[in-house]
Amino acid sequence: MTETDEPIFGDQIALTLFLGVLCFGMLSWRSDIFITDNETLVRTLQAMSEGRLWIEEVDGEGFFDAPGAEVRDGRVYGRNYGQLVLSLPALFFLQLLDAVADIRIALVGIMHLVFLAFLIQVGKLLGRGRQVALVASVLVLLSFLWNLTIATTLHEPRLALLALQVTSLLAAGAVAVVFYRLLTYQFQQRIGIIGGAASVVVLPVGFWATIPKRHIFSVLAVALILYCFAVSREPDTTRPLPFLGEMPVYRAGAYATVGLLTWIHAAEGLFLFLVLVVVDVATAPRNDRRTIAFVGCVFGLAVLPTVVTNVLVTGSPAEPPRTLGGGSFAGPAQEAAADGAGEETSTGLLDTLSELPLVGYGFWLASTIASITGDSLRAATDGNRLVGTFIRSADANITGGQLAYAGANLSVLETAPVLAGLVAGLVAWLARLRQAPRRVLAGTDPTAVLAAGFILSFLAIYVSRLPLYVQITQRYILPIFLLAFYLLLCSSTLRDIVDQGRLELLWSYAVGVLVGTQLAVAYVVQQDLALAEATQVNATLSLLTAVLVLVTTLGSVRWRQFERPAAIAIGLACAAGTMFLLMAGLQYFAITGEYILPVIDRLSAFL
Amino acid sequence: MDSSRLAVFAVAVLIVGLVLATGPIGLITIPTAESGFEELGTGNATVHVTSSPDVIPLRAGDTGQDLYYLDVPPTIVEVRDLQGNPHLNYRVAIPALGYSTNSVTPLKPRGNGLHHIEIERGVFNASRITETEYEAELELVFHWSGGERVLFDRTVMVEVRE
Repeated sequence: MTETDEPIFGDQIALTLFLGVLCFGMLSWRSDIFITDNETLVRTLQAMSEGRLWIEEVDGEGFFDAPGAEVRDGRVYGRNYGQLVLSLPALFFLQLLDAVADIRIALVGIMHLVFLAFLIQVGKLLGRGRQVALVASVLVLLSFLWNLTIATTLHEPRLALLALQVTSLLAAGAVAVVFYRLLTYQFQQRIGIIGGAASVVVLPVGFWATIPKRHIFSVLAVALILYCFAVSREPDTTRPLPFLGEMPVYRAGAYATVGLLTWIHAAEGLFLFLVLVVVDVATAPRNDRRTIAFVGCVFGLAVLPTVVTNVLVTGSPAEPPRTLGGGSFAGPAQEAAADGAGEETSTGLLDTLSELPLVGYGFWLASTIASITGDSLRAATDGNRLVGTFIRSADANITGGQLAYAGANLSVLETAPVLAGLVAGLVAWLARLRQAPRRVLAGTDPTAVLAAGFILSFLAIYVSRLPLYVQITQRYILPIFLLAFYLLLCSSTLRDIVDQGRLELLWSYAVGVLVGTQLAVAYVVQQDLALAEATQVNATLSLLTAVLVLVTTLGSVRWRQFERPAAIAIGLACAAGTMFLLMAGLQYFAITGEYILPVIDRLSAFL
Repeated sequence: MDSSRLAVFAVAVLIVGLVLATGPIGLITIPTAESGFEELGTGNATVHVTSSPDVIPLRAGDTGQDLYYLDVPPTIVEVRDLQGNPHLNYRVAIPALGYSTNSVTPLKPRGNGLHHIEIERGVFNASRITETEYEAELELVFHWSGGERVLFDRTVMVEVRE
C-alpha cells in the first residue's frame, strides 16, 4: 500500500476511513426528528442562523415548549450551543443547495459522490486504482439514476435538522479518523485501521451518526483529547508558532478540546478537565512556566465561548443553559428525568452562590461535583441498575417512556459485545503486575490511565440516571464505549489476537454480518416481532458472542492455542455490533422518518 | 487523461448536472409523494369483506419487560369499481381495558383488488391484564362521498396467550 500525505487527513487511509464511515452513516439517514428534544435544537439553530440565541419571545399566548427549551426573561432558549455553532456552516451550505436544486436530490447526489470517492480510494489502496475507478463510476451512476427515477420530494424538509445531521455525520467520520491516528501512533497501523473503522461501524457510536444528539460530539472530543495527550507525552512534540516560538500545541490541543466541550455540555467538560489536569501534570515531559502559561491561555480561550453563551442565555457565567428551569448542572430536569433521586441541586443554592465572587464559584463547583458524584456512587451500589445498564437489559425496570419502545434500551454489553475482551486484558495486566509490580506500574501508558479516568468521569456523571428510557444504546455513556475499546486495545494480549488473527477476524466478521443479518432479518419479519422483541433478539445474539469472547480471550492469556478462536469470537462479536446498527438503523427505527436515499426508503417499507 | 479518470470526471459532472436540473431551471421536476390521503372519503367503490378475524390474540411478549401485545388480524377486503378515494375505518375497542384504536386506509393507492386492512399493534403493561379473555368490539366502516356504511360491527373474543 502506498501512502502519500494528504493535508488534513495525514494519509490516504485516514481519508478512506472517513469516507467509508460517511457512506455507512448515510444509509440510515432519515429526515425526521428522532427524539423530541431534537426539536429544540432545530428551532434554536434556525434562530441562530437568523442572528439570535433565543427561539422566540413569549407573548402570553403559548410558546414553543419542547423538552430542552427553557424560558428566561420572556424568551425561549435552547441548549447545546457549541453543537449548534458547529452546525451553522452546514446550514448555510444547505440553504445554498436548496436555492439551486431539490434538496433531496442534491443530498442524494452528494451521497453518491462521496460513495464514488470512497470506492476510488479503496481501489487505490488495493493497488487497482484504474479498474476500480472505472467500475465504480458506472455503478454509482446507475445507482444515482435509479434513485433519481423513484425519488419524490421530501415532506416538509427542515434545513436546520438536515444541517445538524450533516454535522453529526461529519463528526462521526472524524471520530474514526482521530481514533485511527491515535491507535496508529500508539501501536501500529493495522490496529489503527481495524480500530478506527470499528469505532463507528461496530460500536453503537454509528447508531447516532445521523441523529443529532450531543453524544457523538462528546465521543469526538474524547478521541481528540486522547490523541493530543498521547502525542504530547513525547518531549519533542512542540511546533513553531509565529511570534511565540516553539509551543506545545498538542498539549494545548487537549485542553482546547476539553474547554470547547463545555460549550456543548458543561458538566462533561468540567469532569474531563479535572481528570486531564491531574493526569497531564503528573505525566507531562515538562511543566515549566512557559508551557503552563501557553496551555492555560489556550484553555481560557476555549472556555470563553461557553462563558459568553452562558451570560447571554442564563445571565450568569457559570450556569449553562441546561440549568434554566431548575435543571441541575449535570443534566436536564425535563429530558428523561427518571426516578426522584435525579436532580437534587436546588435552584435556590445556585442563585445564592452565583452572586458570590470567584471564590464562591470554586466552592459551588466543588459542591456540584460532589453532589453529582455522590448520586452516582449511591446508584452504583444498586446491583440491579448496574446489570440493567451494562449487561442484560431485558429485566431492567425502566419506568416512563412510550410503552412500544420498552425493552429497546439495550445494555452496554448487548450493543458492544466485543468489550467483553476487556476482562481478559485486565486479567493479563494484573498477572504481569503480580510478577513485576514496580516495572509494570512504571511502564503504564499515561494515555490508558487518562482513558480510565475519563470512563470514571462519565460513570460519575451518569450512573445515577441509568438505566433509562429513550437511551437505546445507553447513549449518555457513549464515550465510554470508545474509551473501553481503546483500553481493550491497550492490552498487548488482545492486540496480538487482533493482529495475528486478523484474517480469521475479518472473515468471521464478514460472514457474521452478511449471513447473520439476513438470517436475523428473516426471523424477525417472519415471526412478526414487536420492536422490543426484535431488539432483544439482537441483544441475545450479542450476549452469546460476548460470552464467546470472554471465554476465548481469557484462555488466550494462558494458552496460545486460544488465540485463533479468540480472533474468530471477536470477529463475530463485531459482526453482532454491526448487525444491530444495520437492523436498528434500517428496520427497527425506520418508522421515525423518511430515508434520504429513495432506494433505502423503498427497502425499509418491505421490512 | 486515461479512461478511468475520464469516467470519474464524466460521472461527477453528470450527477452535478442532474442535481442542478432539479432546481429553478426546472428541466427535471421531482414528483411530490402522494400520501394517499388526498380527497379522502370521496368517490365510491364496491367493497366486499372476504375475511375478518374471529379471535384477537393478546400475547405476552418475551422481552422480560412484562408487556402484552394486541395483534389484531387484518381484515381482507375486495374492492371493485373504484372511483375517487373512499376509505375504510377499521376500529377495535376493548371496554374492559378502556382501550380503543383505529386505522384509516385510503383505497386509491392500491386501487381495485384485495386490500389488507390492518391496525397498529397495541401494547399493554402486564399488570393491566387480569383476565384470560376479554370482549372486543370490532368494526369496519366504509366512508364514501355519500356518507358512511358499516361493513361489520360485532363482538370478537380477545384471547390472552402466554
